[in-house]
Amino acid sequence: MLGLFRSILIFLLLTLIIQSCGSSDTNQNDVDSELPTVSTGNDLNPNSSGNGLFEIKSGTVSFLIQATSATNTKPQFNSLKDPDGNELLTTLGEFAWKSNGYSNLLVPISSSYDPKPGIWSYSATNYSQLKLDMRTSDLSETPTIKVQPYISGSDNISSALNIMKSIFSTSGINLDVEDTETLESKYSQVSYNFNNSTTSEMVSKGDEDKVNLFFITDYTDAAYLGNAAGIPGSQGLKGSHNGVLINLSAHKTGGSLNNQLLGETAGHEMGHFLGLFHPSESAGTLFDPIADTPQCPLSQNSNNDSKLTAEECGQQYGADNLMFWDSWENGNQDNLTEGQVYVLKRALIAK
Amino acid sequence: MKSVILLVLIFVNTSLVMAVPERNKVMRLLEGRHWELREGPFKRLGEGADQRLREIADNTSLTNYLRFRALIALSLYDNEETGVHLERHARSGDSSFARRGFSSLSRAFSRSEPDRVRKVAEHLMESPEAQLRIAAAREMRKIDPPTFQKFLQRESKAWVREAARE
Repeated sequence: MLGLFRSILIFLLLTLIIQSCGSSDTNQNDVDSELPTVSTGNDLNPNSSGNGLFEIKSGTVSFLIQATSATNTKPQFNSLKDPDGNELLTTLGEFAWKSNGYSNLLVPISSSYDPKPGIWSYSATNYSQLKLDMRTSDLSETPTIKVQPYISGSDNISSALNIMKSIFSTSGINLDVEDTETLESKYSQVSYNFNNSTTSEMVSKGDEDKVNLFFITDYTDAAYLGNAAGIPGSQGLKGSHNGVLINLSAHKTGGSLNNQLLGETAGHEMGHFLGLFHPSESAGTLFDPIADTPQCPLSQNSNNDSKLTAEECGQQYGADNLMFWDSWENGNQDNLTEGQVYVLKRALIAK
Repeated sequence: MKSVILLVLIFVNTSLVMAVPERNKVMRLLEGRHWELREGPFKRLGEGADQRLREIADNTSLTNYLRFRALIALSLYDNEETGVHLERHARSGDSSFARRGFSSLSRAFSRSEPDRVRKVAEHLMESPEAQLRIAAAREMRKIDPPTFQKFLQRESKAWVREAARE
Protein backbone atom coordinates (compact mmCIF):
# COMPACT_ATOMS: atom_id res chain seq x y z
CA MET A 1 0.00 0.00 0.00
CA LEU A 2 2.84 2.35 0.96
CA GLY A 3 4.68 1.36 -2.25
CA LEU A 4 1.66 2.16 -4.36
CA PHE A 5 1.27 5.53 -2.63
CA ARG A 6 4.99 6.28 -3.19
CA SER A 7 4.70 5.36 -6.90
CA ILE A 8 1.67 7.62 -7.32
CA LEU A 9 3.51 10.47 -5.57
CA ILE A 10 6.58 10.06 -7.80
CA PHE A 11 4.36 9.95 -10.89
CA LEU A 12 2.58 13.15 -9.85
CA LEU A 13 5.86 14.88 -9.10
CA LEU A 14 7.33 13.86 -12.46
CA THR A 15 4.18 15.05 -14.24
CA LEU A 16 4.44 18.38 -12.46
CA ILE A 17 8.12 18.78 -13.35
CA ILE A 18 7.50 17.93 -17.02
CA GLN A 19 4.56 20.33 -17.21
CA SER A 20 6.55 23.02 -15.52
CA CYS A 21 9.44 22.56 -18.00
CA GLY A 22 7.04 22.61 -20.94
CA SER A 23 5.35 25.69 -19.62
CA SER A 24 8.66 27.41 -19.16
CA ASP A 25 9.66 26.60 -22.74
CA THR A 26 6.39 27.93 -24.07
CA ASN A 27 6.78 31.18 -22.15
CA GLN A 28 10.34 31.51 -23.34
CA ASN A 29 9.17 31.10 -26.92
CA ASP A 30 6.50 33.80 -26.35
CA VAL A 31 9.06 36.19 -24.94
CA ASP A 32 11.44 35.48 -27.81
CA SER A 33 8.77 36.11 -30.41
CA GLU A 34 7.88 39.39 -28.64
CA LEU A 35 11.43 40.75 -28.59
CA PRO A 36 11.30 43.98 -30.56
CA THR A 37 13.41 44.18 -33.67
CA VAL A 38 15.62 47.18 -34.28
CA SER A 39 14.04 49.59 -36.74
CA THR A 40 16.43 51.33 -39.07
CA GLY A 41 13.96 53.08 -41.36
CA ASN A 42 11.01 55.40 -40.80
CA ASP A 43 8.48 52.77 -39.77
CA LEU A 44 8.78 51.60 -36.19
CA ASN A 45 7.89 48.02 -35.33
CA PRO A 46 7.15 47.72 -31.64
CA ASN A 47 6.10 44.42 -30.10
CA SER A 48 2.53 43.85 -28.94
CA SER A 49 3.29 45.61 -25.65
CA GLY A 50 4.31 48.76 -27.51
CA ASN A 51 8.04 48.37 -26.76
CA GLY A 52 10.52 48.88 -29.55
CA LEU A 53 14.04 49.70 -30.60
CA PHE A 54 15.50 51.95 -33.26
CA GLU A 55 18.96 52.80 -34.44
CA ILE A 56 20.33 56.31 -34.55
CA LYS A 57 23.30 56.46 -36.89
CA SER A 58 26.40 58.52 -36.39
CA GLY A 59 25.98 62.04 -37.75
CA THR A 60 22.29 62.27 -36.89
CA VAL A 61 21.41 65.89 -36.05
CA SER A 62 17.90 65.36 -34.68
CA PHE A 63 15.05 62.88 -34.66
CA LEU A 64 11.34 62.94 -34.05
CA ILE A 65 9.18 59.96 -33.03
CA GLN A 66 5.57 60.56 -33.98
CA ALA A 67 2.49 58.63 -32.90
CA THR A 68 -0.94 58.99 -34.43
CA SER A 69 -4.24 57.53 -33.24
CA ALA A 70 -7.97 57.93 -33.58
CA THR A 71 -8.96 61.50 -32.74
CA ASN A 72 -10.68 60.53 -29.49
CA THR A 73 -7.56 59.00 -27.93
CA LYS A 74 -4.21 60.42 -26.94
CA PRO A 75 -1.15 58.40 -27.98
CA GLN A 76 1.30 58.16 -25.10
CA PHE A 77 5.05 57.63 -24.92
CA ASN A 78 5.95 55.97 -21.64
CA SER A 79 9.69 55.59 -22.08
CA LEU A 80 12.56 56.75 -24.27
CA LYS A 81 16.02 55.44 -23.40
CA ASP A 82 19.25 56.45 -25.10
CA PRO A 83 21.95 53.90 -26.01
CA ASP A 84 23.46 54.26 -22.50
CA GLY A 85 20.15 53.33 -20.89
CA ASN A 86 19.34 56.85 -19.66
CA GLU A 87 15.60 57.50 -19.41
CA LEU A 88 14.94 60.80 -21.17
CA LEU A 89 11.29 61.06 -20.20
CA THR A 90 12.19 61.85 -16.59
CA THR A 91 13.24 65.31 -17.77
CA LEU A 92 11.89 65.54 -21.32
CA GLY A 93 8.52 64.07 -20.34
CA GLU A 94 6.78 67.31 -19.38
CA PHE A 95 7.76 68.76 -22.75
CA ALA A 96 6.66 65.72 -24.77
CA TRP A 97 3.81 66.76 -27.03
CA LYS A 98 0.54 64.95 -26.24
CA SER A 99 -2.78 65.67 -27.90
CA ASN A 100 -5.80 63.77 -29.13
CA GLY A 101 -4.81 61.95 -32.29
CA TYR A 102 -1.17 63.00 -32.24
CA SER A 103 1.83 62.90 -29.88
CA ASN A 104 5.55 63.09 -30.43
CA LEU A 105 9.03 63.24 -28.93
CA LEU A 106 11.73 65.50 -30.36
CA VAL A 107 15.46 65.21 -29.68
CA PRO A 108 16.94 67.74 -29.13
CA ILE A 109 14.52 70.22 -27.55
CA SER A 110 17.53 71.95 -26.02
CA SER A 111 21.30 71.56 -25.99
CA SER A 112 20.92 69.28 -22.94
CA TYR A 113 19.65 66.50 -25.19
CA ASP A 114 21.73 64.67 -27.73
CA PRO A 115 20.70 62.23 -30.48
CA LYS A 116 23.47 59.80 -29.48
CA PRO A 117 24.32 57.18 -32.10
CA GLY A 118 23.35 53.65 -31.13
CA ILE A 119 20.28 51.63 -30.26
CA TRP A 120 17.47 53.55 -28.54
CA SER A 121 14.45 51.96 -26.90
CA TYR A 122 10.95 53.30 -26.43
CA SER A 123 7.58 52.30 -25.10
CA ALA A 124 4.27 53.64 -26.40
CA THR A 125 0.56 53.02 -25.87
CA ASN A 126 -2.73 54.09 -27.49
CA TYR A 127 -1.22 54.58 -30.94
CA SER A 128 -2.33 53.36 -34.33
CA GLN A 129 0.85 54.29 -36.18
CA LEU A 130 4.40 55.08 -35.12
CA LYS A 131 6.95 56.83 -37.29
CA LEU A 132 10.55 57.88 -36.84
CA ASP A 133 12.09 60.74 -38.79
CA MET A 134 15.76 61.54 -38.58
CA ARG A 135 17.84 64.37 -39.93
CA THR A 136 21.28 63.29 -41.02
CA SER A 137 22.20 66.23 -43.25
CA ASP A 138 25.13 68.38 -42.16
CA LEU A 139 24.53 71.22 -39.74
CA SER A 140 24.71 74.56 -41.46
CA GLU A 141 25.67 77.81 -39.77
CA THR A 142 22.91 79.49 -41.78
CA PRO A 143 20.29 76.81 -42.40
CA THR A 144 17.29 77.28 -44.66
CA ILE A 145 13.73 76.35 -43.75
CA LYS A 146 11.06 76.20 -46.44
CA VAL A 147 7.83 78.00 -45.60
CA GLN A 148 4.56 77.68 -47.50
CA PRO A 149 1.95 80.34 -46.72
CA TYR A 150 -1.73 79.75 -47.53
CA ILE A 151 -4.37 82.44 -47.24
CA SER A 152 -8.12 82.77 -47.27
CA GLY A 153 -9.42 86.10 -48.52
CA SER A 154 -7.55 88.94 -50.16
CA ASP A 155 -5.49 90.51 -47.36
CA ASN A 156 -1.95 91.49 -48.27
CA ILE A 157 0.41 89.65 -45.94
CA SER A 158 3.69 90.36 -47.72
CA SER A 159 4.84 92.94 -45.12
CA ALA A 160 4.10 90.55 -42.28
CA LEU A 161 5.98 87.73 -44.04
CA ASN A 162 8.98 90.03 -44.49
CA ILE A 163 8.93 90.90 -40.78
CA MET A 164 8.82 87.17 -39.95
CA LYS A 165 11.74 86.49 -42.33
CA SER A 166 13.73 89.31 -40.82
CA ILE A 167 13.27 88.01 -37.25
CA PHE A 168 14.70 84.62 -38.24
CA SER A 169 17.45 85.91 -40.52
CA THR A 170 18.79 88.10 -37.68
CA SER A 171 19.43 84.82 -35.85
CA GLY A 172 21.10 83.20 -38.87
CA ILE A 173 18.11 81.23 -40.14
CA ASN A 174 16.97 81.76 -43.72
CA LEU A 175 13.30 81.30 -44.46
CA ASP A 176 12.62 80.32 -48.04
CA VAL A 177 9.08 81.66 -48.28
CA GLU A 178 7.26 80.30 -51.31
CA ASP A 179 4.45 82.09 -53.17
CA THR A 180 1.27 82.34 -51.10
CA GLU A 181 -1.44 79.91 -52.17
CA THR A 182 -5.10 80.88 -51.94
CA LEU A 183 -7.48 78.66 -49.99
CA GLU A 184 -11.02 77.72 -50.97
CA SER A 185 -13.74 79.74 -49.26
CA LYS A 186 -14.79 76.77 -47.11
CA TYR A 187 -11.48 77.14 -45.26
CA SER A 188 -11.86 80.84 -44.53
CA GLN A 189 -13.13 80.21 -40.98
CA VAL A 190 -12.10 76.95 -39.35
CA SER A 191 -11.82 75.38 -35.93
CA TYR A 192 -8.64 75.82 -33.90
CA ASN A 193 -8.81 72.05 -33.33
CA PHE A 194 -6.56 70.20 -35.77
CA ASN A 195 -8.75 67.10 -35.39
CA ASN A 196 -11.79 68.96 -36.72
CA SER A 197 -12.61 67.48 -40.13
CA THR A 198 -12.42 70.80 -42.05
CA THR A 199 -9.25 71.98 -40.31
CA SER A 200 -7.67 68.57 -40.82
CA GLU A 201 -8.60 68.54 -44.51
CA MET A 202 -7.07 71.99 -44.97
CA VAL A 203 -3.85 71.36 -43.03
CA SER A 204 -3.32 68.04 -44.82
CA LYS A 205 -2.71 70.04 -47.99
CA GLY A 206 0.69 71.07 -46.63
CA ASP A 207 3.93 69.42 -47.73
CA GLU A 208 5.86 67.43 -45.15
CA ASP A 209 9.17 69.23 -45.74
CA LYS A 210 7.83 72.74 -45.11
CA VAL A 211 6.36 74.85 -42.36
CA ASN A 212 2.82 75.35 -43.61
CA LEU A 213 1.32 78.65 -42.45
CA PHE A 214 -2.46 78.88 -42.83
CA PHE A 215 -3.60 82.50 -42.65
CA ILE A 216 -7.32 82.03 -42.07
CA THR A 217 -9.93 84.78 -41.96
CA ASP A 218 -10.98 83.72 -38.46
CA TYR A 219 -11.45 80.80 -36.11
CA THR A 220 -14.98 79.47 -35.70
CA ASP A 221 -14.44 78.62 -32.05
CA ALA A 222 -11.47 80.48 -30.57
CA ALA A 223 -10.00 83.95 -30.18
CA TYR A 224 -6.35 82.95 -30.46
CA LEU A 225 -3.90 85.01 -32.46
CA GLY A 226 -2.63 81.72 -33.81
CA ASN A 227 -1.90 78.13 -32.83
CA ALA A 228 0.44 75.36 -33.90
CA ALA A 229 -0.54 71.73 -34.42
CA GLY A 230 2.05 70.65 -31.88
CA ILE A 231 5.32 71.51 -30.19
CA PRO A 232 6.78 70.47 -32.50
CA GLY A 233 4.26 69.90 -35.28
CA SER A 234 4.43 66.86 -37.51
CA GLN A 235 7.59 67.75 -39.39
CA GLY A 236 8.26 65.14 -42.04
CA LEU A 237 4.74 63.72 -41.76
CA LYS A 238 1.95 64.96 -44.03
CA GLY A 239 -1.43 65.11 -42.30
CA SER A 240 -3.66 66.91 -39.83
CA HIS A 241 -0.82 68.18 -37.64
CA ASN A 242 1.45 69.53 -40.34
CA GLY A 243 1.02 73.28 -39.97
CA VAL A 244 -0.02 76.31 -37.97
CA LEU A 245 -3.11 78.52 -38.05
CA ILE A 246 -2.94 82.32 -37.92
CA ASN A 247 -6.07 84.39 -37.40
CA LEU A 248 -6.09 87.40 -39.77
CA SER A 249 -9.13 89.21 -38.38
CA ALA A 250 -7.71 89.09 -34.84
CA HIS A 251 -4.72 91.11 -36.08
CA LYS A 252 -6.76 93.98 -37.52
CA THR A 253 -7.34 97.39 -36.03
CA GLY A 254 -10.23 99.22 -37.62
CA GLY A 255 -9.97 97.05 -40.72
CA SER A 256 -6.19 97.35 -41.22
CA LEU A 257 -3.75 94.55 -40.54
CA ASN A 258 -1.18 95.13 -37.80
CA ASN A 259 1.76 93.79 -39.82
CA GLN A 260 4.28 93.78 -36.98
CA LEU A 261 1.97 91.77 -34.74
CA LEU A 262 1.01 89.45 -37.61
CA GLY A 263 4.66 88.83 -38.54
CA GLU A 264 5.48 88.09 -34.90
CA THR A 265 2.53 85.71 -34.58
CA ALA A 266 3.56 83.84 -37.73
CA GLY A 267 7.11 83.60 -36.37
CA HIS A 268 5.89 82.57 -32.90
CA GLU A 269 3.70 79.76 -34.21
CA MET A 270 6.46 78.64 -36.55
CA GLY A 271 8.75 78.52 -33.49
CA HIS A 272 6.27 76.16 -31.80
CA PHE A 273 6.03 74.04 -34.95
CA LEU A 274 9.82 73.68 -34.96
CA GLY A 275 10.02 72.75 -31.26
CA LEU A 276 10.22 75.94 -29.18
CA PHE A 277 8.13 76.47 -26.02
CA HIS A 278 7.18 79.70 -24.26
CA PRO A 279 10.24 80.69 -22.18
CA SER A 280 7.85 81.52 -19.29
CA GLU A 281 4.21 80.56 -19.05
CA SER A 282 1.66 83.15 -17.91
CA ALA A 283 1.69 82.23 -14.21
CA GLY A 284 5.48 82.61 -13.88
CA THR A 285 5.96 79.11 -12.54
CA LEU A 286 6.59 77.05 -15.70
CA PHE A 287 9.61 77.58 -17.94
CA ASP A 288 10.96 76.09 -21.16
CA PRO A 289 13.83 73.53 -21.15
CA ILE A 290 16.33 75.95 -22.70
CA ALA A 291 18.94 77.29 -20.28
CA ASP A 292 19.53 80.75 -21.70
CA THR A 293 15.96 81.94 -22.27
CA PRO A 294 14.94 84.75 -19.90
CA GLN A 295 12.51 83.64 -17.22
CA CYS A 296 9.86 86.01 -15.94
CA PRO A 297 9.42 85.07 -12.29
CA LEU A 298 6.35 85.36 -10.10
CA SER A 299 7.98 88.26 -8.26
CA GLN A 300 7.33 90.45 -11.34
CA ASN A 301 3.59 90.11 -10.83
CA SER A 302 3.00 93.67 -9.70
CA ASN A 303 -0.72 93.38 -9.01
CA ASN A 304 -0.83 89.76 -7.81
CA ASP A 305 -3.35 88.64 -10.41
CA SER A 306 -3.10 85.40 -12.35
CA LYS A 307 -0.99 86.66 -15.23
CA LEU A 308 2.48 88.04 -15.85
CA THR A 309 1.94 90.31 -18.82
CA ALA A 310 4.53 91.54 -21.30
CA GLU A 311 4.44 94.95 -19.60
CA GLU A 312 5.25 93.44 -16.19
CA CYS A 313 8.07 91.29 -17.53
CA GLY A 314 9.56 93.88 -19.89
CA GLN A 315 12.69 93.34 -21.93
CA GLN A 316 14.71 92.33 -18.87
CA TYR A 317 12.53 89.26 -18.31
CA GLY A 318 11.98 88.26 -21.89
CA ALA A 319 8.90 90.13 -23.13
CA ASP A 320 10.87 90.91 -26.30
CA ASN A 321 11.44 87.21 -27.02
CA LEU A 322 9.58 85.88 -30.06
CA MET A 323 8.28 82.99 -27.98
CA PHE A 324 6.94 85.05 -25.05
CA TRP A 325 3.46 83.82 -24.12
CA ASP A 326 1.79 87.22 -24.53
CA SER A 327 2.00 89.73 -27.37
CA TRP A 328 3.58 93.09 -26.49
CA GLU A 329 1.84 96.28 -27.48
CA ASN A 330 4.70 98.57 -26.48
CA GLY A 331 7.62 96.68 -27.96
CA ASN A 332 8.69 94.28 -30.68
CA GLN A 333 9.09 90.58 -30.01
CA ASP A 334 11.92 89.76 -32.35
CA ASN A 335 14.56 88.16 -30.14
CA LEU A 336 15.71 84.55 -30.12
CA THR A 337 18.41 83.30 -27.75
CA GLU A 338 21.37 81.11 -28.78
CA GLY A 339 19.69 78.18 -27.07
CA GLN A 340 16.54 78.64 -29.12
CA VAL A 341 18.58 79.01 -32.31
CA TYR A 342 20.36 75.74 -31.38
CA VAL A 343 16.99 73.94 -31.59
CA LEU A 344 15.88 75.75 -34.77
CA LYS A 345 19.12 74.95 -36.59
CA ARG A 346 18.56 71.27 -35.82
CA ALA A 347 14.95 71.27 -36.97
CA LEU A 348 14.08 68.14 -38.88
CA ILE A 349 13.10 70.10 -41.98
CA ALA A 350 15.99 72.61 -41.89
CA LYS A 351 18.66 72.20 -44.56
CA MET B 1 -28.85 118.40 7.32
CA LYS B 2 -28.08 119.49 3.77
CA SER B 3 -24.40 118.86 4.26
CA VAL B 4 -25.13 115.34 5.58
CA ILE B 5 -27.25 114.56 2.49
CA LEU B 6 -24.51 115.99 0.30
CA LEU B 7 -21.89 113.81 1.99
CA VAL B 8 -24.09 110.73 1.57
CA LEU B 9 -24.60 111.55 -2.11
CA ILE B 10 -20.86 112.02 -2.63
CA PHE B 11 -20.21 108.70 -0.87
CA VAL B 12 -22.81 106.84 -2.95
CA ASN B 13 -21.53 108.41 -6.14
CA THR B 14 -17.91 107.54 -5.28
CA SER B 15 -18.93 103.96 -4.44
CA LEU B 16 -20.61 103.62 -7.83
CA VAL B 17 -17.54 104.94 -9.62
CA MET B 18 -15.27 102.67 -7.57
CA ALA B 19 -17.42 99.65 -8.47
CA VAL B 20 -16.30 99.73 -12.09
CA PRO B 21 -12.88 98.06 -12.34
CA GLU B 22 -10.05 99.90 -14.04
CA ARG B 23 -9.86 99.33 -17.78
CA ASN B 24 -6.29 98.03 -17.51
CA LYS B 25 -7.34 95.36 -15.04
CA VAL B 26 -9.92 94.07 -17.49
CA MET B 27 -7.56 94.35 -20.46
CA ARG B 28 -4.96 92.21 -18.68
CA LEU B 29 -7.46 89.38 -18.52
CA LEU B 30 -7.81 89.51 -22.29
CA GLU B 31 -4.09 89.14 -23.02
CA GLY B 32 -2.18 86.11 -24.29
CA ARG B 33 -1.52 84.59 -27.69
CA HIS B 34 -3.54 81.47 -26.90
CA TRP B 35 -6.30 83.00 -24.78
CA GLU B 36 -9.22 81.04 -23.40
CA LEU B 37 -12.11 82.29 -21.26
CA ARG B 38 -11.77 81.60 -17.54
CA GLU B 39 -14.73 82.67 -15.49
CA GLY B 40 -13.05 83.12 -12.09
CA PRO B 41 -10.79 86.11 -12.83
CA PHE B 42 -13.65 88.05 -14.46
CA LYS B 43 -16.03 87.34 -11.59
CA ARG B 44 -13.36 88.46 -9.13
CA LEU B 45 -13.29 91.87 -10.82
CA GLY B 46 -16.69 92.45 -9.30
CA GLU B 47 -19.52 94.69 -10.46
CA GLY B 48 -18.96 96.86 -13.46
CA ALA B 49 -16.64 94.45 -15.29
CA ASP B 50 -19.33 93.94 -17.94
CA GLN B 51 -19.46 97.68 -18.55
CA ARG B 52 -15.71 97.76 -19.17
CA LEU B 53 -15.98 94.70 -21.45
CA ARG B 54 -18.72 96.38 -23.49
CA GLU B 55 -16.51 99.47 -23.86
CA ILE B 56 -13.56 97.36 -25.01
CA ALA B 57 -15.72 95.38 -27.47
CA ASP B 58 -16.89 98.69 -29.03
CA ASN B 59 -13.50 100.39 -29.11
CA THR B 60 -12.43 100.46 -32.76
CA SER B 61 -8.98 101.78 -31.88
CA LEU B 62 -8.12 98.44 -30.24
CA THR B 63 -6.79 95.44 -32.13
CA ASN B 64 -9.60 93.00 -32.84
CA TYR B 65 -8.29 90.13 -30.72
CA LEU B 66 -8.98 92.18 -27.59
CA ARG B 67 -12.45 93.15 -28.82
CA PHE B 68 -13.26 89.54 -29.76
CA ARG B 69 -12.24 88.34 -26.32
CA ALA B 70 -14.27 91.07 -24.61
CA LEU B 71 -17.31 89.87 -26.55
CA ILE B 72 -16.64 86.27 -25.53
CA ALA B 73 -16.22 87.25 -21.88
CA LEU B 74 -19.57 89.05 -21.98
CA SER B 75 -21.21 85.61 -22.14
CA LEU B 76 -20.63 85.57 -18.36
CA TYR B 77 -23.11 88.43 -17.84
CA ASP B 78 -26.83 88.00 -18.48
CA ASN B 79 -28.04 91.53 -17.68
CA GLU B 80 -30.17 93.64 -20.00
CA GLU B 81 -27.42 96.08 -21.10
CA THR B 82 -25.22 93.17 -22.09
CA GLY B 83 -28.11 91.47 -23.90
CA VAL B 84 -28.79 94.58 -26.00
CA HIS B 85 -25.07 95.00 -26.67
CA LEU B 86 -24.63 91.40 -27.82
CA GLU B 87 -27.73 91.59 -30.04
CA ARG B 88 -26.27 94.66 -31.74
CA HIS B 89 -22.97 92.91 -32.40
CA ALA B 90 -24.73 89.75 -33.56
CA ARG B 91 -26.46 91.81 -36.24
CA SER B 92 -23.26 93.64 -37.27
CA GLY B 93 -21.98 93.47 -40.85
CA ASP B 94 -18.64 92.06 -39.72
CA SER B 95 -19.08 88.31 -39.47
CA SER B 96 -16.28 87.88 -36.90
CA PHE B 97 -18.08 90.21 -34.49
CA ALA B 98 -21.52 88.92 -35.44
CA ARG B 99 -20.62 85.29 -34.74
CA ARG B 100 -19.02 86.08 -31.39
CA GLY B 101 -21.86 88.40 -30.40
CA PHE B 102 -24.36 85.67 -31.23
CA SER B 103 -22.36 82.95 -29.54
CA SER B 104 -22.18 84.96 -26.29
CA LEU B 105 -25.85 85.90 -26.53
CA SER B 106 -26.71 82.19 -26.81
CA ARG B 107 -24.53 81.23 -23.88
CA ALA B 108 -25.87 83.97 -21.66
CA PHE B 109 -29.58 83.92 -22.61
CA SER B 110 -30.60 80.65 -24.27
CA ARG B 111 -32.02 79.29 -21.01
CA SER B 112 -33.52 82.43 -19.54
CA GLU B 113 -34.73 84.08 -22.78
CA PRO B 114 -34.77 81.55 -25.64
CA ASP B 115 -37.02 83.76 -27.79
CA ARG B 116 -34.47 86.53 -27.67
CA VAL B 117 -31.84 84.13 -29.04
CA ARG B 118 -34.26 82.62 -31.58
CA LYS B 119 -35.01 86.02 -33.18
CA VAL B 120 -31.33 86.69 -33.80
CA ALA B 121 -30.74 83.09 -34.95
CA GLU B 122 -33.56 83.39 -37.52
CA HIS B 123 -31.92 86.54 -38.86
CA LEU B 124 -28.46 84.96 -39.06
CA MET B 125 -29.71 81.79 -40.74
CA GLU B 126 -30.35 84.01 -43.78
CA SER B 127 -26.82 85.47 -43.75
CA PRO B 128 -24.63 85.19 -46.86
CA GLU B 129 -21.79 84.21 -44.48
CA ALA B 130 -21.70 80.42 -44.20
CA GLN B 131 -20.19 80.34 -40.70
CA LEU B 132 -22.93 82.63 -39.39
CA ARG B 133 -25.60 80.36 -40.86
CA ILE B 134 -23.89 77.35 -39.28
CA ALA B 135 -23.63 78.98 -35.83
CA ALA B 136 -27.25 80.12 -35.93
CA ALA B 137 -28.54 76.78 -37.21
CA ARG B 138 -26.71 74.87 -34.48
CA GLU B 139 -28.38 77.03 -31.85
CA MET B 140 -31.77 76.70 -33.56
CA ARG B 141 -31.42 72.91 -33.48
CA LYS B 142 -31.56 73.16 -29.68
CA ILE B 143 -34.30 75.80 -29.46
CA ASP B 144 -36.60 74.80 -32.32
CA PRO B 145 -35.82 71.50 -34.16
CA PRO B 146 -38.54 71.92 -36.88
CA THR B 147 -37.06 75.30 -37.94
CA PHE B 148 -33.63 73.69 -37.98
CA GLN B 149 -34.94 70.96 -40.32
CA LYS B 150 -36.38 73.61 -42.66
CA PHE B 151 -32.96 75.27 -42.72
CA LEU B 152 -31.36 71.98 -43.77
CA GLN B 153 -33.88 71.60 -46.58
CA ARG B 154 -33.19 75.01 -48.08
CA GLU B 155 -29.41 75.26 -47.46
CA SER B 156 -27.70 74.66 -50.80
CA LYS B 157 -24.16 73.93 -49.60
CA ALA B 158 -23.61 70.36 -48.46
CA TRP B 159 -20.64 71.22 -46.22
CA VAL B 160 -22.73 73.87 -44.44
CA ARG B 161 -25.53 71.35 -43.80
CA GLU B 162 -22.97 68.86 -42.53
CA ALA B 163 -21.30 71.43 -40.25
CA ALA B 164 -24.68 72.55 -38.87
CA ARG B 165 -25.46 68.97 -37.87
CA GLU B 166 -22.14 68.50 -36.00
